[in-house]
Amino acid sequence: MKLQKVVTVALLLFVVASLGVMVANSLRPGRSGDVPADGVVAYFFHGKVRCPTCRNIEAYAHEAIQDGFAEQIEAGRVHWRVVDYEEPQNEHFATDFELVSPTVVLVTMEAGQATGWRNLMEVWNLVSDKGAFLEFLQQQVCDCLEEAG
Amino acid sequence: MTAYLLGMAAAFGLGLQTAISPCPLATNIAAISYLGRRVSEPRQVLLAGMLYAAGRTVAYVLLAVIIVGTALSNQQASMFLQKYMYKALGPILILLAMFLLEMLQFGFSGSGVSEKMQRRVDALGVWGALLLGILFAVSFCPLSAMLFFGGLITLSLQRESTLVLPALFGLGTALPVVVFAILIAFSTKAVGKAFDRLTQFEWWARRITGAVFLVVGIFFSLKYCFEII
Repeated sequence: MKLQKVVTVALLLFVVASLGVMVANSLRPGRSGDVPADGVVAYFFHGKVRCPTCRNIEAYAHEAIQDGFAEQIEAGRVHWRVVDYEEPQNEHFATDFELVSPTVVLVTMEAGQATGWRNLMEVWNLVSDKGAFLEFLQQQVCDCLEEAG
Repeated sequence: MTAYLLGMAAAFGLGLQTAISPCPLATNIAAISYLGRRVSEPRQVLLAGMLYAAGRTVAYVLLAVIIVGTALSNQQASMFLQKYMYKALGPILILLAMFLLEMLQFGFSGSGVSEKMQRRVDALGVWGALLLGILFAVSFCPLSAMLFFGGLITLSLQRESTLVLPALFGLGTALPVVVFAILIAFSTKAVGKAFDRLTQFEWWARRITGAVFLVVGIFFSLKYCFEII
C-alpha cells in the first residue's frame, strides 16, 4: 500500500514536471537563422514532433539540393536551411509561407528581399518514390533560379 | 454531383490514411486498448466504439466550422494544436492511466457511496470514449496535420462542405481503431469463455489498458516534453 502511494506521488510529480518543462520549452528563445541576400533559399520547416516521414522528406530534400546544386551552393546562389517553426522567433514563417505541417519551401531572394516563394507540399505525396522526389525538387529549384535571373 | 461524391470518398480516404499511418500509432494502440477492455460486455465495446468515432467526428467538424467560419487561419490552428496538444498528451495519458489503475480515486467514504460512485465511474468509462475521441482527434502529429489542414480543409473549401466532408474524415480516422477493438474484445471473450476465465480476463484487460496508457504517457512526456529520447 505504501509502495502504491509512493508510485502515485512520483507519477503526479512527473506529470507536473512534464507540463512545466513543456511550458518552459515553448518560451525558450531559439537561434534565428541568417537569411542570404540573393539566390534561392531551400527551407525545410519542421516542428518539435519529428515523424519518420518528415525525417525522410528532410533527408531527401537535403540530398536533392546538395547533389544537384553543388556549384550554385559554392557560388552562394543556392542555400539550405532547416528551421523549427515552433521556435518563437520563427512563428512568422507559418503565416509568411502558409505552413500547416513540415514541408519544403523555396524562397527567391533579391537584395535581401523575398521576391517569391513556393510551398512544396507535393513532397508528402512523392516521399514514397525517392527518384521522383529528387527530380521534382531539383526541377523546382531550377525554375526558381531561372526566375531569380 | 459526381465531383461531390468523389470529394466524399477522398475525405473518407484521407481519414483512413491518417488512421493507418505510423504517426498516430501510439495513440491508436491506447484507443484500441481502452475501447476493447470490457471483454465480457461486447455491447459496451460497440457503444464505446461508436462514441469514440462520434468524438473524433465532432472534433473535426467543429475545427472545420471554426476555421472556415472565423478569422482563425488554417495555419494558426494547425501550429497551435501541433505545438501544445500532442505534447500535453503525455501528462494527460499518465493521469488517465492512474484513474484506470485505481491509483487515483474519488475521496468518498462508506461502502454504499463507494459502490454508487463506482457505477458512475463505470458509466463515465463508456462516455470517456467520446472524450478520448475528441482528445486524440485534436492531438495532431505532423502527418495528421498535413492530411487534415493541408488536405481535408482545402477539399472542404473547394466543395463548400464544412459538415459532411470533415465528418467522413472523422469516421475514416476512427474506423480501423474501432474494428480492431471489437475484434480483440470478441476474440478475448471467446477465449475467456473457452477457459471459463472471463472475469479474470476482464480484470487483466482493464489493467493492461491502464499499463498501455501509462507507458504511452511516459514515452510521450520523455520524448515531447523533456525531449530526451
